[in-house]
Order: sequence, then structure tokens, then C-alpha cells
Amino acid sequence: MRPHVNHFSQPPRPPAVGDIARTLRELPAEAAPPYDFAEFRRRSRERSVPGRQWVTWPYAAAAAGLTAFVAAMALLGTNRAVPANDDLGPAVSGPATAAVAPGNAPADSSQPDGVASSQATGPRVGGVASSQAAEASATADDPFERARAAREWLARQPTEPALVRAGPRLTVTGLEDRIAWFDDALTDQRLHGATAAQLKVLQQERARLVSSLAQVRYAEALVAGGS
Amino acid sequence: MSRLTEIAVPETTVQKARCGDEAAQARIYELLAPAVHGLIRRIVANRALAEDLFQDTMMTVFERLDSFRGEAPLGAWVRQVAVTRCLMYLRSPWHRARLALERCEDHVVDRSGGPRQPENVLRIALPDRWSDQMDLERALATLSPTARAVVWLYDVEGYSHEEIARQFGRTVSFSKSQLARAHARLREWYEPQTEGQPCAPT
Repeated sequence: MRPHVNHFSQPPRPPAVGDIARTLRELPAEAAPPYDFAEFRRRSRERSVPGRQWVTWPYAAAAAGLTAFVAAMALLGTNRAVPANDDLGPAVSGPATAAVAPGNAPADSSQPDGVASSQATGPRVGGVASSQAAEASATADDPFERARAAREWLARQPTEPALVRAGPRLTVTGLEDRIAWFDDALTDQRLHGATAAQLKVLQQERARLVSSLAQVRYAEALVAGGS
Repeated sequence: MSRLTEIAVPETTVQKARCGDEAAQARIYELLAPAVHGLIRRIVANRALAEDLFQDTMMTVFERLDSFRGEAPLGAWVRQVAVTRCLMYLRSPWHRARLALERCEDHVVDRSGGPRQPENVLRIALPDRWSDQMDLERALATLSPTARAVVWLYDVEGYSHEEIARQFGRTVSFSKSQLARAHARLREWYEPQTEGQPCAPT
């Protein structure tokens, strides 16, 4: 058997250092700092400044966006609520009511008694009794009384909407009234310095109404051409 | 060689630095920065991390200089700040995740021999004192960051086991066992290499 030849094995290391702690303490305790004081100050400022910027600017942008959204929603809600009240006037004493109130001279003889449009103003204009027509004529001069009477009349209506046959005239009238109201509101808002966002909401609503009116007119023209 | 606790900072300089005097702050920086950086480099071996922790430590020192009451040398107070910063880092989940990643990389790179062992490090013949120091440096580098911190704080900075346990938020036995294991590891490094590889196949 060949002897175990190991030419390259390392010579024995020096005896183990008994006191590791002493040797550790002899190690250099200092290391050159990575940069001088000026660089340290610059880095300190760099670490502080981005934090402040981050806190300020995106939060301000988010707050501005949220405020604009809330303002737009509030304006939209207001604009939808106000015309509904204004529409009550013509619904009681205007041409729409005149068309359906049997006590008064009907403006549109083609409409049967007690029949109203459910498209433009819903069931609130249908089935008006003679006593209510008298009440409406008595309070026609005062717009507040008119509105109050209309609200009372609405409260007396059944909750379930009635299915009725309605002609296009009431629909057209209602749409035209609404468009006129939005024209007034736009002019008023422009004079009072409303923001572009507020005006845009009004214009969008007006454009939607004009589009609806055009569709009704087109349907009317189709019916007239067919007959 | 100077330890942080042995560095003398004049009281007037500290007072001026508290009042925001930049020249005084620069003087304190000049006096303390090398020792602070050295301590952090010993506890956290990674150079980039040590630089970050050094910046954090010095910023904390100047921000909280008002709370230094002067009962101990300024160096001792600064050392406490530095050690706290380092151990906070070592305890952080981020550091643990990084260690786990490094271990995975070691296994991938060194498939034949497993994780890096002290024997894989080249040894150079140097005068005895230098050789011992370099060996010890290499041996320290093979310890885990926690064990290295415990060894350094106990053997060099003079912390007691109770203080180390408090700093790590662990028990005294944790500190003792970490130190015992680290010492055993360091002694292994110094033990004579009796078994070598043969030059030819048998």
C-alpha cells in the first residue's frame, strides 16, 4: 500500500490565540468617515426636504380635486332640484294644466279629459279635479301660493304611477320649458362669475334636453309623415 | 486607536453645538465621526448599510443634542445612539429578509461545497501580529451579524450580558449563547489545519 503523501498540506498554524477579546480590542477601532461635515449637512438636508414636499403637494392636489368634485355634485343637485319646483307652476296653471283641466278651456282638444303626459311631467299632471282647478286659478297670481298648492296636489296623488296614453305636445312643452330654464340659469351663472365646471354641468344638462326634444320632434315628424 | 468613550469633547463645544453653531458641530463631527463609523462598520459589515446608519446616527446626535445631560462623556452617549441604530436595523424584518436572500444566493452559487466556509478564504503569510489581526477580521466576517454584534459589544465595547440582552430585546441567555457560539467559531478559525488534501489520487 502506498504511503499517504501530502506535500501540500499546510503547516500547523501558530497556537490558537487564547484571548480573543484582547485581539479584538487590538483591531483598529476607527474608520475614515465616508464624507466630511459639509457633505453630511447636505445629505441631512436632502433627507429632510423630500419628506416635507411629499406631505404638502400631493395632499394639496387631492384636497383641491375633492373640493371641486363636491362643488360640482352640489351644483348638480341644486340645478336638478330647482327646475322641478319651477315646473310645478306651468303644471297647475299653464298650458299643460289647461289641456287637462275639464273646468277650464282646454288648449288642446285632442287630449281626452283626465289624460296627461307621463313622459314629461309624470303622473302629477294627470286626473285633475275641478275643485283643484278652481284652487289653482284662485292662487294663480302668487307664485308661492301656486307652488304650495302644487305641492299639496302632488301629495294627494296616488303613489303608484298610472299608465296613460299621452300625446307629444305636453312632452314638447315640458322640454321647452326646461330648456328655457337652463338658458336663464346659464346666463345668471355667467353674470355671477360661476366656474367653468359649474357652467359645464348646466350646459351638459341643457344639451341632453335639446337632444330629447329633437328626438320627440323627429318622432312627431315620422308620425305626421306616416299618416 | 481611540474608543468613543475615550474621546474628549470640550463642554463649550457641546454648548455651542446645542445652540446651532455650525463650527462647533463640525468640530464634534471631526472628533467623533471616525470612531462612530468604525463601530458601525464592525457591527454592520456591509459598507453601504454602514454609511446609511452612520448618516442616521449623526443626524440623530445633532437633532437630540439638547437631551444630552452631560453626566457621561459625549462619546458614550453617541456610542449608545449608534449601537441602538445598528441593533434596530439588525432586528428589522427588512434585514432578516435580506439575510435569507443572501443565504439562498450562497446555496445557488456554491452548490458543490455548500455555504461559504472560512476555509475558502485565502490566507496570506504576514508577520504574526498582522496575520492574527487579518485572520480575526476574516473570522469576524464569517459570523452572523447578530453574533458579530454580540461579540463586539461584549469583548470590545464592554457591554454586559444584561445590557446586550436589553438592547436586542431578548434574554440574558440569548446573549450568553450567542457569545459562546461566536467564540467557539473564532477558536475554530485559529485551530491548526491537520487535515489537508492529498496532491494525487490514492
